[in-house]
This record gives sequence, structure tokens and C-alpha cells, in this order.
Amino acid sequence: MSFWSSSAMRRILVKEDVCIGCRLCEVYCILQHSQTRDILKAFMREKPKPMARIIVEEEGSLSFGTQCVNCDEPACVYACLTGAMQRSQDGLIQVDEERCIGCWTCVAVCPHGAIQRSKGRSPTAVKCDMCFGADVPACVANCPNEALVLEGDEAA
Amino acid sequence: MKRFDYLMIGNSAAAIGAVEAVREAGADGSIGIVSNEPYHVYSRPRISERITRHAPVKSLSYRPPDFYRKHAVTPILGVAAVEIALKQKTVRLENGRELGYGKLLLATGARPTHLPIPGIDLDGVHYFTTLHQADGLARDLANIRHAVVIGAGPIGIQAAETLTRTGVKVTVVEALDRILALAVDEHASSLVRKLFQKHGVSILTSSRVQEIHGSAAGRACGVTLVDGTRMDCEAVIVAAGVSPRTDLAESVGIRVKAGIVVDSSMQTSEPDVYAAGDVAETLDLLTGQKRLMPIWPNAYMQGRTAGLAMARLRGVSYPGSISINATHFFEFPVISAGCIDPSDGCTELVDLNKRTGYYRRIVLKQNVPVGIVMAGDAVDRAGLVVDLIKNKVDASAFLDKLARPDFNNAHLPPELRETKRGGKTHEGH
Repeated sequence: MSFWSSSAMRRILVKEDVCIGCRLCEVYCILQHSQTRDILKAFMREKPKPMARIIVEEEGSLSFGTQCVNCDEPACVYACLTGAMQRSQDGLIQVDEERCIGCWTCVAVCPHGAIQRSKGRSPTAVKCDMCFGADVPACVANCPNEALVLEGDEAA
Repeated sequence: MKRFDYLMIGNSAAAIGAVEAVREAGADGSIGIVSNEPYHVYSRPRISERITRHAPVKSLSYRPPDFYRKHAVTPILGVAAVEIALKQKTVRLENGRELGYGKLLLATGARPTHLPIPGIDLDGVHYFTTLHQADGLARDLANIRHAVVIGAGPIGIQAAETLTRTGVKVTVVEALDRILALAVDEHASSLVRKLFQKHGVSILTSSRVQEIHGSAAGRACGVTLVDGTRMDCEAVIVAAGVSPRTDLAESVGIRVKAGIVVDSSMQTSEPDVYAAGDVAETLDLLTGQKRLMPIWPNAYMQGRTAGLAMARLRGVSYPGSISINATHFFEFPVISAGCIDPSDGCTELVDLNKRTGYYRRIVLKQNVPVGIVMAGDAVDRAGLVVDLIKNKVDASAFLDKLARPDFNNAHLPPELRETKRGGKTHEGH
């Protein structure tokens, strides 16, 4: 009996040698997770401002996007105090905001620093959701330099 | 007599971790869960919501409603296991029923430590570790204007916040010289103390309750402290630590020290009997010593390890845990992990902002991070440093960057980044 299949899980691969630090991945992630899906409204009007689930990290000339890699052994899922952090059958790790109490145990155990805190009165964990079953996540689709690619599509 | 290939006594983090691991390992044997609590598995840290917002029990579930069915588990709930027969491999329940087992997991957890003071059995004396206890407190709430909380550990402090949110005046009495003494360091302790005081909570440290007074009706009506101070109250919440529920194990001679003694696969001194969670000893990854570490994530990981071993996966070995406490106090986040009381030879990186409460402290031993305390916005990316602690990474090469508030993956050596990517991060099996 298997509850999820590692092979079904598609990961986003990061190629740091070709990332130019343009942060378009963040922009399109914000747009994707906005209510209006309108770039101007998403950035200027929506409250709370939608959050990017990918963070471009930089040091000197080095840059790359960091987001959840849906670990084979997910520390966040194991450590979650409420069961809000769960792996779905397709391998994706998701937060059930209704059950998240914002204790930040996941933030404390994520080795990638890929789980963020939402803003507002009852903050919850926020992470990459692979654009909810989209064929190609927004960050990958809009990376101008193919620094973000889907696993299995490397050669493309 | 019903016989289960895997029988779990307990229905919380450790037992669920074991069930999920047994099934993940591909074992399809029968699983039974026995618990004295009558509920579908719930999240203990959320019991306060029964009081603050009358949350339905269902909404506090730790796993979806179809969890037992999906994992082919027979839940036997609301009935306690009272005796083990090791030779016959059976467990007797309080209703007389007997269950056979192939492998047994003791995940009986911990109970609030008994406080031997006069008045401890009066009405109006509450505990705050189970849903049932939280409901008892919720039912009593209308009678309570002032409550005394004994103990300022994570449970006592959560009880104090919960009651304060419902408008009850709270006094916390703590024997040690600061609150959350075992969970956070002095600075974070004082940050949280000030926050509670701002919310109207009185906190008395280096003090003890000597006696709880009863009214003519047999209800708690006040306390006297060791220094002779007397105060009126309508309720006392006892949160003076927890003790492992080792009775079942001890009664059949299973080896117990601070908790049930287990090997690296969570097997007890008895073959086919495993233990995990608050009832079992934990190997402290940093000191190499066995000790009690009654925290939820540790219970789950121990249960998971036990489950894999029970499903006969070979070479299952748990490298040990570091203590991790993460929570928020009146929305103010605090995370601590590992060694927070540095011994000789330790160095520290500290950054703080008095106005915002921002606090970032990393303790290192010979340039290897061994502990963190982070508060306010400093908690973001705490896991990056916790990962260095778990993997005992020498940070000499990037010490200056580790000190920075914006410390991130780009500051790590390339080979470390490469290891982490691809999601093969090891949680220790």
C-alpha cells in the first residue's frame, strides 16, 4: 500500500548558474496567487498583498530562486502540530489554512527556509503549491533564462 | 479474541506516526489503536480553541475523518488498556476485553505531574493537556474571575493566554526565576513576560503555591504562596510539568528509567514491544544522552521510526532529536531549538531590536551551530540554521554571513546547497 508516488511528483529544478536575479518568478508567483490576476491591481491594490511562494536569494553575483522542493521525507509534515501540513496523493505538500495555527514549527524545521508566514491577524504558513495542478507553474513558465525548469524537462 | 499484527496503545502523534510509517513501508497487516480518550485523533496543541471559540471537536482533528478507514485501522476508543501479558502477547482492556498482538507500540504519552499540596483535589482545580480537561475548564469558565496558573512552562503559559483571551484575570506562579525557563533563553523569556504583563497577566517567579484553599462547598477559593501571600481565586490550573505514563510497561518489567528505555529502532527491553512519544526516552542528538523530550514533533518522529521498525524494515535507526519549541504568544512568534544554555567554549551571534522585539541568537560550539533562539521577525528562515544544527555543519567558512539577519541559502557553500536540493533531505532513517 503506497500513499503517494515519488515518481508522480514533479519538482522544480533550480539552475543557479543561469539565474540573472530578475525576480520575474516572484512577480508571476504573486500574480498567480492574487485574487484579481491583474498585475497592477495585485501589486497596488489588493490587501493583504499576495505573497510570492518563491524567494530569490542573492549574494554578490550569485542568485537563484528558492521554494518548497516537496522533500521525500518532509520535516514540516512530520513536525506539524495540527496536521495542517499534509502530503497529497500526488506528492505535493499543502497547507490546510483552516487547521494551521501559525505555531511556526514548520518554519523551524524546513531545511530550505521555504515556508513563510502570512501577514494579518491569524497568520498561517504559506508555501509553493506548484500552482495547483497547472501543467507548468507560473515561475517556470515565465523565467526568461530557463533557470527554473520542471524535473524531466531539463533538456527542453 | 481479536488479534492485530500491529497494536498501538495511544492515539496521538506517536501512534499516528507509527500507523503512517507501517503503511508507507508497504506492510498490510491489521492495525488496532486503543485509547482511553474517546475522540478521533485530535491536535493537543489546539485544545485551547475549545475555550476561546467553542471550536467543534471535529475541527481539531489531527488527521482527516477517513484516516482510520484509509489506513485500515480499527480504532478502539474510550477504553483504557490495563494490562499486558508478554508471553501470551495480549493486552487486556478495562472492560475485560482481550486483544492479541504481533507487535505492540506503547504510545501512552505523559500526564500532568502530580503536585503534592493540600487542596489539589478540590473542585475548580484544572489541568490543561487533554481535550476532556479543556472542556472541563470551558464548562467552569462562568464561575471564574481570577485563576491561578501553577507553572510557567509552555502548557501553563498557553493556559494563561487562553484564559486571558476569555476575560479571566490570571496570575501565573512559577518556581524557577523566569518563565519558559526550559524552552527559551533569558532574553526571550523576558520579552514574553513583558508581553503577558501588557495583557494584564500577573507573573510571580521564584515562588510556589503552598496550599489551595477550599470553600465550604469544596471548591478552590484561594491559594497561599510559600512566602505567606494569600490570594483569592475561583480556579487553579496545574501545569507543573508532565510525567511519562510508564505504569503499563513497568508492571510487566519493561525497562524504565526517566521514561521507557528504547534502542535506536524504538524497541523496548522486550522484543516485539516498542515505545515512542512522551512516554519514551529520547536520544538527544547534541549531547548523546538519553532524556525525556515531551514535544509533539519528537513524538511523531519516534512513532514513525517505531512504525518502520515494526514493519520489519531493516536498518531503521533514529539518530536522535533536538528539542524544538515554536509558538506564538499573543501573535508574537518565538522559536528555539537545540542548546540554549551554552556551556564553556561556546560562542554566540546575537542581534536584537528593542523596539520591535526582533531577537536572533545563534549559539555555536567550535563554529558548529548548536542552538538558536529567535523572536519576532527573526523567526523567518529559522529552519536553515536548525538544519545546520541537525547536520552538525561547521560554519567557519560563512560565519560572518550566518550573523546577518538576511542569512539565506545563497550564503551557504555550493556543495551544501547541492545536497539540499532535490528533496533528498534526510530525516534520519
